[in-house]
Amino acid sequence: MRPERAEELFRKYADGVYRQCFVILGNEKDSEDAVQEVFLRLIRSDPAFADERGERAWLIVTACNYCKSQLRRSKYRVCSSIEEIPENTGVDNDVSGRDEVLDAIMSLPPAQKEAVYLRYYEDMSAENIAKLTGTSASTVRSRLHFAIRKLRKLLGGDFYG
Amino acid sequence: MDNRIKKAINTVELTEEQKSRMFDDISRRSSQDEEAFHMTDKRRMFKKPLRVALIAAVIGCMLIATVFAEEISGYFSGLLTRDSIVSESVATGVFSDTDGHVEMSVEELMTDRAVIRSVVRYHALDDEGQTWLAGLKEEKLYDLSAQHLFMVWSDKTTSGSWNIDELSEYRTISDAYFCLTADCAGRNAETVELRYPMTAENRETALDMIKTVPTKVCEINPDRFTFTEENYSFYPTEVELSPLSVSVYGKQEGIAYFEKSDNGWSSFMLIDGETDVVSSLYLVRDDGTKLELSGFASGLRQQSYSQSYESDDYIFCHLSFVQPVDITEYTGIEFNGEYFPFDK
Repeated sequence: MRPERAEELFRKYADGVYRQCFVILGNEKDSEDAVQEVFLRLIRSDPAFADERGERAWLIVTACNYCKSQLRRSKYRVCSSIEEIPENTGVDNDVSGRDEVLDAIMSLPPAQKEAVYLRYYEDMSAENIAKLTGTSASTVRSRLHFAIRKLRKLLGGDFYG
Repeated sequence: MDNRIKKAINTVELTEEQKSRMFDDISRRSSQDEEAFHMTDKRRMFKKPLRVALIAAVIGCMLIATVFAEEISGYFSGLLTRDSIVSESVATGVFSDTDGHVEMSVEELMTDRAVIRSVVRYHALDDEGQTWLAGLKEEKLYDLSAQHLFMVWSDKTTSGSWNIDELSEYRTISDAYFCLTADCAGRNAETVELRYPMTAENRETALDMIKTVPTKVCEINPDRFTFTEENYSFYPTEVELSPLSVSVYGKQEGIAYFEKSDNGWSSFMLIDGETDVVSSLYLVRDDGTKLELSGFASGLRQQSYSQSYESDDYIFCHLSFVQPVDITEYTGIEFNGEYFPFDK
């Protein structure tokens, strides 16, 4: 891929890919690494896109798959007692100044966060989310149901869903 | 319309400094990739005239031609069969198909009838096959509207997932290897559907699961539970453990779901109540150490299911192991502080 084209795509989509990775991975460092990896794959494979929609779809799918593979690759941990089990690692605990709705979203389990992001930020249907994530539409709807329920509990008031 | 979620996510953005630094890094790494590619290309070009000379020498001397580096790099000698925990349970040479340009073969396959792992090989038979193979990339295979390469259980009623990873260390101009995983709670499925691309079309076939990894079972007598809450209607009845995954089955009278709570603990929430009825679930080893059964625990992937909101049979949790585990090391489960041994 020509350097000018690579930079054009990066400038256009880096924020969006970063947001997606940040929601799923939960911290700045891992999300930056993920963004770089996604764009490196884009440069290496240099796919021919028909339009902007194709560009965006490719990046969403690649980011999703990369983030899930990163979540899977966490090291094996042995705990000899309940007291030794650490709190969630890898999640930024400095929430000062962060939007309370974002805080609430970030407290969801990864599968629910991913579903919320794809449904309410990318406006994808449950069926398309199911294809992307390799699950069924009913599983996606369940995840969304429980995610919104928890968000309502944390934030109060009416919400999506 | 409430756009709070979108507005909240939009607050996450990169600074200009971050973008510049990241793009500089991307440019540097992609230049390094390109240099490495051209180096390989130069080595190939150097070896072509060498090969011609050698072949001429061989013909002249009536000797057998040698094989060159680009044709044997990354020789595949098995992946699943290399793990001694499961090697005896791996089926090899399971299936193959060809369209004259490429040959697809399922080299290895192992399953506990909830998780399937397999290694698929694509081998190019001619120049057209090689050209097509060069475009067969892991990230493109997730595009279900175009090519796809995956396995799913064909006779399961609960939802599942699938994944594909290329074994890139074995990639050559004529060969590519992919590790496919399919995962679905609820055992005793007999067939899996394999969908795979060839040069001109996508194909599919059914594979019978003849060989399976060994499994151990723990049956739990509900009389052992003391129900302290009026709405406590939820208890495990059976645990199945294999080297590939663990499933906890149970009974429930309300509607429930396996969910991760704020403090990182696994919990099962009743929809119509807010009581967490399970606060801890562990696999216990023979040395007394424990493995937390949670999608956030290291070495595990989380899947969670309910069969039906009307049914009282429930799959509490189903988790697959990233690496096969030796089930002889595990003696039972600990559920809310109580220990239940596996059957001998």
